[in-house]
Amino acid sequence: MRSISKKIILTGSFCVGKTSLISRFVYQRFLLNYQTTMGVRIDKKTVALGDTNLNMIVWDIGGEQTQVRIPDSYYLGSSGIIYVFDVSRPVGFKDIENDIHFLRQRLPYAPIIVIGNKRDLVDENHLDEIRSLVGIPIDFFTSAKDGIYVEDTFIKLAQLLIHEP
Amino acid sequence: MKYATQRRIVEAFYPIMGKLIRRYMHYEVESWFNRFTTQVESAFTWQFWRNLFWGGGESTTPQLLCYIEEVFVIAHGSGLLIGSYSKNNTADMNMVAGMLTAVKSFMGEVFQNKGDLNTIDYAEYKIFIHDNFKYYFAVVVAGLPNERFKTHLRSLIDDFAEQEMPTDIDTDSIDDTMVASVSDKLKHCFENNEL
Ligand SMILES: Nc1nc2c(ncn2[C@@H]2O[C@H](COP(=O)(O)OP(=O)(O)O)[C@@H](O)[C@H]2O)c(=O)[nH]1
Ligand SMILES: [Mg+2]
Repeated sequence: MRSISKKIILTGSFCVGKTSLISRFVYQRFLLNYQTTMGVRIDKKTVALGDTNLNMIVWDIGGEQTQVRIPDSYYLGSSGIIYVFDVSRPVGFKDIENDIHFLRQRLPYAPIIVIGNKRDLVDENHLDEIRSLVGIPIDFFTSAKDGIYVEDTFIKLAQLLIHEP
Repeated sequence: MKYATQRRIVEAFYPIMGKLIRRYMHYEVESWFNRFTTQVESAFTWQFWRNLFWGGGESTTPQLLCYIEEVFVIAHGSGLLIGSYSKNNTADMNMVAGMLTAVKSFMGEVFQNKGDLNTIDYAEYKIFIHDNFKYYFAVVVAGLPNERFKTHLRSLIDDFAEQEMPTDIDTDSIDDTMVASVSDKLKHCFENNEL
């Protein structure tokens, strides 16, 4: 089996659940206490897809930075992006389109998975409404807390990375 | 003159950088460093005293002054590991490679002297960083390297880059075959080389 590595980044506003999603995916656990990520933190998870082992080297950035203030080195050499927003905070919805636009310009060839996290905090009936408010396609509504669609998010990105080198 | 200025800047930054690096260190990297610390401590205490009292066959002290612990070849930007050599590897080298890249790029403004060996200090270890076009070398050295050691290390790295490194490195070409091959060559080069 061939084995390759790819750099993956998580972006999105402060406190939307980026670190929690990684923790859920890599370590199968959820920490309720908020811990600010200091600087950059790197995790690794290997997924087997067909005849390829993909080492996903996941970069997580901390702090309250807006996207433009994130150091360039965070984006450099990234093969895939997971963009996260918080479904329970409608005030943040207006930034999403701009953020995605910025990412597409910054990394034109990297696939982006857009996810609305903390779905456990909103009524399931509201998800369609959120979809239309956000205005751009959303790949998954996830919950890092309950472990819903977290695996699917990373696996979908992994598949895109392997089939579109 | 330029060198002196550089040194003064670096010295001034050391306390700050030390803190920042620690802040940037994931536990994996922490444990990677802790392992060295334990090894050196035990080397100094146990072996050192044993030799002192029982007169061990070889003198360990001069060797302990300086030696190469680990060598990494890492892709710029992505921080992906292209190859590594370690005397006693237990940590995940992929993650360490990523962290080194994050720390290195963060400190990019401090280290501007192209072509020279830059160093990151961590406890009693020095990490020598040497940039090439698409990748860089990070060499972890325990002890107190002198100028002779640095010159020798530098030429060893240059030769390795010239003779042993594949030329077709890009994000999509780095796979386990390449990593294994570069790692093998690193082992051959750094294991059998008395510095
Ligand atoms: N209810 C709920 N809380 C979440 C979820 N994901 C993260 N959180 C909480 O939201 C806060 C911020 O999470 P964190 O992962 O640190 O966000 P980051 O700043 O984007 O890395 C923490 O208190 C988490 O416990 C989720 O899916 N559901
Ligand atoms: Mg975080």
